[in-house]
Amino acid sequence: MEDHSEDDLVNHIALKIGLIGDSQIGKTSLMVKYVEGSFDEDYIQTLGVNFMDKKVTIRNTTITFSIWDLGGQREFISMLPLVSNDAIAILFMFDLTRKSTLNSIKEWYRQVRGFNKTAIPFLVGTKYDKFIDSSYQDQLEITQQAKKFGEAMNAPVIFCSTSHSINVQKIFKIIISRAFDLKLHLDEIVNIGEPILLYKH
Amino acid sequence: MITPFTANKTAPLPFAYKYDNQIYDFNPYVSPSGHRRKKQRRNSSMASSDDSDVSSDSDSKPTITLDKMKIDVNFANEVSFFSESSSSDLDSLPDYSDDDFSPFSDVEDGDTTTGSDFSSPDRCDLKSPPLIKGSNINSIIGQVSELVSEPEPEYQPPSIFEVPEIVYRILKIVDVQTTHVPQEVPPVSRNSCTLPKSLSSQQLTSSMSGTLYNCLMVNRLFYQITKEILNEKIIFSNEGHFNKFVDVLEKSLNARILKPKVLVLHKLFTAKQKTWEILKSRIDYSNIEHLELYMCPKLYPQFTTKESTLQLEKLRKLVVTGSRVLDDKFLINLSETCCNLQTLDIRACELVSDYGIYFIGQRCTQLKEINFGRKNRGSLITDLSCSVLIRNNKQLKTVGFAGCHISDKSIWDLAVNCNTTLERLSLNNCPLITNQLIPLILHSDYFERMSVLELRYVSSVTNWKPVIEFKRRQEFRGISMLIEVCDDLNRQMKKQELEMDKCLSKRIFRDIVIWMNELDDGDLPYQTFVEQQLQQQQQQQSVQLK
Repeated sequence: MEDHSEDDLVNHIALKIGLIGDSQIGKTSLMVKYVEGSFDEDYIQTLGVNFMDKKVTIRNTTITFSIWDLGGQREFISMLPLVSNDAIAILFMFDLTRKSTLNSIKEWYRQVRGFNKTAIPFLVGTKYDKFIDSSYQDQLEITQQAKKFGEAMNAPVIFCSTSHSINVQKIFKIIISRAFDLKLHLDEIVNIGEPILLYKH
Repeated sequence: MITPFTANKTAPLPFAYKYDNQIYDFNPYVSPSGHRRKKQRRNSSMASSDDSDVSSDSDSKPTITLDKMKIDVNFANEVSFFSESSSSDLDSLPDYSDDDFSPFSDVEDGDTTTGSDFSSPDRCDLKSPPLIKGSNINSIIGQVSELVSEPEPEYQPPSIFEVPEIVYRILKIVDVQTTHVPQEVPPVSRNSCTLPKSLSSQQLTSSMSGTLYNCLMVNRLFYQITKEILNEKIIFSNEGHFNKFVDVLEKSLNARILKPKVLVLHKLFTAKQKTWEILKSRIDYSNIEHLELYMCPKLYPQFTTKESTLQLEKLRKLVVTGSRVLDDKFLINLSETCCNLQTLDIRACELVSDYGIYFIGQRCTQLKEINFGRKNRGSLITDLSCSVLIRNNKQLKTVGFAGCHISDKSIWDLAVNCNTTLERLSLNNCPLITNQLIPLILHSDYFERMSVLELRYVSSVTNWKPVIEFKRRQEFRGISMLIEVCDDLNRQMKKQELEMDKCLSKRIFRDIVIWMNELDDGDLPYQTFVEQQLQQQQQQQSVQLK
């Protein structure tokens, strides 16, 4: 009887999301920040794959984000199918202060598409709080490059800061709105130097 | 494929009670030598992989080394061991005098001086220095040890295929694995998800059956035991074979009375009642556990003679389907004789009515599976008998009321009495079922174990929402629920399901949109961030100025 009423009231939705990108970008930090709300400066290398569940309950609906995070070292590429298979969205992440990590996205994207052709790609730049300290020229270059990549991948582009909670929740809202094609009333942020939020293509 | 009948045809092998009994109670320590040797020879030729057997004497076996070792090590025990057992043991040893292979056969023939029991030690003299014969126990021990240490083939322990108990186990397993009671394949027209499974099992059956009949031809022991096992299960699905079997039974007047546990006659459409009478005279039903007359319309299964009523206490499963002669009288008799009945399947026995089922329901209390499904004359079976039966049998798992004129009352009785046990319920073609009760009890979460619900052509049911919800709840519990309906109802159900899904997703999306567009989501707004940064810079500047 309890089951019955509960089942009647609560609807469950589960989404799998993969985090991909070079090492020391902050993939695990973003996951922990979103799931637990905490941030730790210390770096712990991810060996293989990390996995966490975040449950969001709104009225009668529970959304479960299953977040899978792949270690950035090349040797863990063999575990990529674990993370990418059945994922509804893949976050391709790069470090806004290291240009090379953005350039690797190309290769990561190619690898992931080999396993999962339907997942919605996202381009996520991390460490925005450090990014604003770099020179305008660097900011311009990175932002333009990221926008170009985002267009090529048909992916929303989001700059975030895990330590300062900038655009962390937004990422997952945009994932949901993209996955179910729902209207999101949220202003885009497009100017260079600001935490970019591009999702209306 | 060897059919049941060919097995019975092989019966006229010579049967000598004493002889066969000896094989059966085979004991290597007492059996006469000659007979045993024959068997061993046959055995070794069968097991051609055993090289030692072929190369040397046929009686040699690897185990002999073990005997030797035992004697070599436990020399002290040896005296008692040999002096006690010598006479019997040596007797039971193979007699070498008529063995052509034996290297000592010549010597044996020529040896006339020693007529004692210890003729074998004498043979050792040839290869070892002569020993003193006679009373000295030490010399005997010496001789014996000499004898034993010689690499001479001796006693051969029986192979596992000669031990009746083991052979029985083996053949029992063969029986369990390969003997299948023939089963009806579900009609292909049904879009049932159970179909592929049953098809594959059918194929398996046809490829594997007959193994037990091959076992008849291995040797005498196998024959004996296999026949015993075969006699426990009499299964026929071919009329020709069955008729021949009955003929043989009729003619062999002094054959043993069969005491089968299982009797299955599958689709013998033309089998006459006369054959059953013959069966009855040759079969003792006191052990029967499973009796099945599947689509044998002319057979009336009668166990009781006029003089005595036989108690069929072991009968658990009775299947008589499609019979044109089975009537209420049979069921009344059955209720008196088989109180432990668990499965009663009388589908399409259209003479049966409330009258017979009422008696079953009154007297049988162990029933777990019942099926009264029928195409015609459904009005003969109503709530009158069914609710009595349900109230007296609270462990029903499978219930088939297809085509019966039962109403919601019986369903309610089921819900009350068999709430926790019922797994499969068929209500196909039940015209008196209404739209009231089934949706209600499914909505109220009765029948928590139910996995199959058949509602073909129950057109009165239109409220599918509780049914679909129930199905989803069952799947949530880990029970894969099958709701069998006809095409028309299936369309209705699918439509309802789609609407429910739409409604559900609408609700979900409404909730999500609310969440998505909450302004305060825990993220730091850019404006605030910039202000914080500015503040920090100002603080730093003021610190530097100071």
